[in-house]
Amino acid sequence: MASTTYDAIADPTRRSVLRLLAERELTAGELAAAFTISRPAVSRHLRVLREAGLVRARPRAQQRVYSLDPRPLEDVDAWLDSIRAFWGPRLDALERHLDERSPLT
Amino acid sequence: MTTDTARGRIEGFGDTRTARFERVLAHSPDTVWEALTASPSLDRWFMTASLEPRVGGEASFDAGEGSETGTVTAWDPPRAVAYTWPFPDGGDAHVSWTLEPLDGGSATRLLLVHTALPADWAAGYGGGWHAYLDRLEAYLAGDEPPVWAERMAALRPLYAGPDDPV
Repeated sequence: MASTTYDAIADPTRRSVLRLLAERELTAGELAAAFTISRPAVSRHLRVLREAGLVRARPRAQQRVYSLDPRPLEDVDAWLDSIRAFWGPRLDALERHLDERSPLT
Repeated sequence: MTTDTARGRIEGFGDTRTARFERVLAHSPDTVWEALTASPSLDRWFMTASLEPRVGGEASFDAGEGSETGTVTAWDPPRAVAYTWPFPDGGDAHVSWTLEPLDGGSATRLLLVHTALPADWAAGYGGGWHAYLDRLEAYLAGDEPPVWAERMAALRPLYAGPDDPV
């Protein structure tokens, strides 16, 4: 089964991989060097990220080079926006209510 | 770091090319040999790789998506190591490293020759090996190796022929 974006970003190591790839493209070895986990573990995380469409791998001469594809994160962003749209006014109302009950002096 | 002496050459015509690099390293042949053949060292500057220490042994390389295997064709520590190169699609590509002691063995002249390189890949491999040799030098010096993809992309135009897309 293909990994969903949410599965992919649920893991802290995978979020770190995404942060590194947001800065520059890297080889699997260079990514592995940034972590204390094993190289096969890094490969597994890369596979999950690739299945979720968050990471692309391109053959470049001797290596495969990994880069970030942020497009699936737009769905996450849209979902967060819907949460913000729901909670934003309610939090504002709560703040007003608390202000009225115990005004700061 | 891109001096003329660091730069390699792409030779040949037709379907395949030969890439040649020569570097003088301020390390003994034994130290350079270890960097070129021991898996923990290879992982630091090259890629996940293992070389069976005999002619005819297995040479395995993982560029990120599982191992590809070639065959060790020379094993003469600390003078020569060579293997068939399994990327991109088999073929007869062959990588050989020759180490020559300099200054009474305190330095090494390292020669890298990659033969039967598919012509389409020659510029990429030229930039790629140049970048790897820069990483090897940094590793030997105890410095942080340059990021391969960036270094390779910057160096690739040096190795592009007139018909290559850069």
